[in-house]
Amino acid sequence: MPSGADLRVLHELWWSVLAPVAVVAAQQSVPAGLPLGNEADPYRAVVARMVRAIVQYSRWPANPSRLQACVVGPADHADDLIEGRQVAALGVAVVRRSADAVRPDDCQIVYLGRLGIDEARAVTGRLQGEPVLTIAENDPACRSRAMFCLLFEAESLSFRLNIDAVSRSRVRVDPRVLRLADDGAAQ
Amino acid sequence: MIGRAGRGEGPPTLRGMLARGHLQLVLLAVALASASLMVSGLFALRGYATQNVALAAQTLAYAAEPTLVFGDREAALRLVSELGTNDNLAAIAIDDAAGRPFVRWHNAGAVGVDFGPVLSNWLGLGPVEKRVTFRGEAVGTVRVVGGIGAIFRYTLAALIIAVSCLGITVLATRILARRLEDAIAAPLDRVAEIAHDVMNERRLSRRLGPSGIAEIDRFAHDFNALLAELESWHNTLANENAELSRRADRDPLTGLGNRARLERNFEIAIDEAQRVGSEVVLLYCDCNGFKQINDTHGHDAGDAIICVVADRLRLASGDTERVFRIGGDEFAILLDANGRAGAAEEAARVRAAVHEAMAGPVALALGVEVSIGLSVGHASYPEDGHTLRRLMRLADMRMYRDKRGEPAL
Repeated sequence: MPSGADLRVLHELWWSVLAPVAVVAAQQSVPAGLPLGNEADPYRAVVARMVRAIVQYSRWPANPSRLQACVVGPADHADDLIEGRQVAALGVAVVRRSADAVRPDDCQIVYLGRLGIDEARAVTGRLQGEPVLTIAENDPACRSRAMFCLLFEAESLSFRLNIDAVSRSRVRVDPRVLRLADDGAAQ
Repeated sequence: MIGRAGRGEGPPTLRGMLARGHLQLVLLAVALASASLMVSGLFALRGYATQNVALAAQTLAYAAEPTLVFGDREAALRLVSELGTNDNLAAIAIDDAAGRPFVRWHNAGAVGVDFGPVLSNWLGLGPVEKRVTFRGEAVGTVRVVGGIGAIFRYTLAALIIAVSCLGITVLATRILARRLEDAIAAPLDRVAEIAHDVMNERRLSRRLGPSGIAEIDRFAHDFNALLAELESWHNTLANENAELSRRADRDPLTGLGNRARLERNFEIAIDEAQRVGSEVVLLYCDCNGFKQINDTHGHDAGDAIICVVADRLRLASGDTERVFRIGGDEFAILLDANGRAGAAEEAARVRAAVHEAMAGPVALALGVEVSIGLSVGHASYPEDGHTLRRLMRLADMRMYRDKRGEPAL
């Protein structure tokens, strides 16, 4: 049975049905994505949470109990991630690696920091067809061929999806997440 | 006419009674069928609605999970509006883990009827609330409220169907009543018509045909029996009347006309003779020695003699209707010219024939034979007189002369 609060909500909904309001249109302007914190770097905590969520919706072949995330190149917002916040609980160890040192058997997750486009493509090219999840921090146009490209917006953090890279990777991403990016943030 | 009596006054008509009876029955049947259909339909729909809302909440909780995790309102809104394309859902609300509104959606095209929370809940319209968890962690809640679209459409359709059925059945009832009435009233009308015919025309030969309805057929059978009884009664009466009137101017023993008939026929013959200017001859005959035969051989023999004489006279005159028995052993023959030879010649011919016919003996019982003579006298119109009485007297007189062997006058 619904509680009193539920009934109030229900009534609110009913009354809104009666009011000829274009509800859907009114909510278009609401920014999508994770809201930011209020530290010096408002993105560092959100990035860790975003990576954690992406890892949670991804599945590696053979289901390894431990994963290693490699942060490649200088990352601007990966401080929390490197400290292992959020992701440690999932059994993810975070290490730094140089672009040349990234190997699929060593890194199941690769977080690309501020790299040149060619450098980034060199790394993603090496990881193509391997069970490695790639996330690019500094590639809003998503040209680095990473699977996920973070989008730093004024009030929130979202991502763009490179569907081609996702389909080539042996890491399986939950289709609900693909659908999120498919006609949402990826466009 | 039976069954089509006046509208306002008097007893109700058969058709009216039949139509009213049928209509009441049909109304009851349709009302019962509609009500049971409506109730069972509502219960079934309620089940579906409950399932629908629960399923929608389940689906939404699953599909909206990543949108909550990633905070993607647009994707959540898209999901919600895809889910709510039909009017079976009225409203959807998604809150985030902290209970803040994440997405609010209302079906702007839904039928805007507020049943109140109790009835809405009974109709299975929810609201159904579902917690969204991700890896054991609450990330938000979804709340789904069902729309009354399906129930509204079903109720409307059921009402329309019920009204249409009612219309059709009312029409069918009227037709049925008319046919039944025809089946029942037509034989009754025929009974009335035949009774009327019997009363006014005395036509008793008509009968009722079979109607195909057992009760009416039984009635028709009795009615026909009554008619048959009446008819035979009527026929007996008519026969008796005819017999009486026949007896009035006929001799019962010989079947010849009697004196009254002779008088009537004489008048007719005189009129005819006057018109065409011809003559009429009356022959008066008397048996010789009849009294003696009667005394010797008995009255039965006398009657037999009379019958034989009558037959011979009939034969001799050439026309049965010309011969009359006017007394015990007295006969008359009325001869008109009849447009042929003169009455006198005809009289002579008949007279000769009579004498010839009477020449043979008459056989009585036990081989006894007697001879019987006949004396004949005649008188003719207009020569001897104009009245039957006068002609009779003259003929009688001449007959006695003949009997005594004197020459005719």
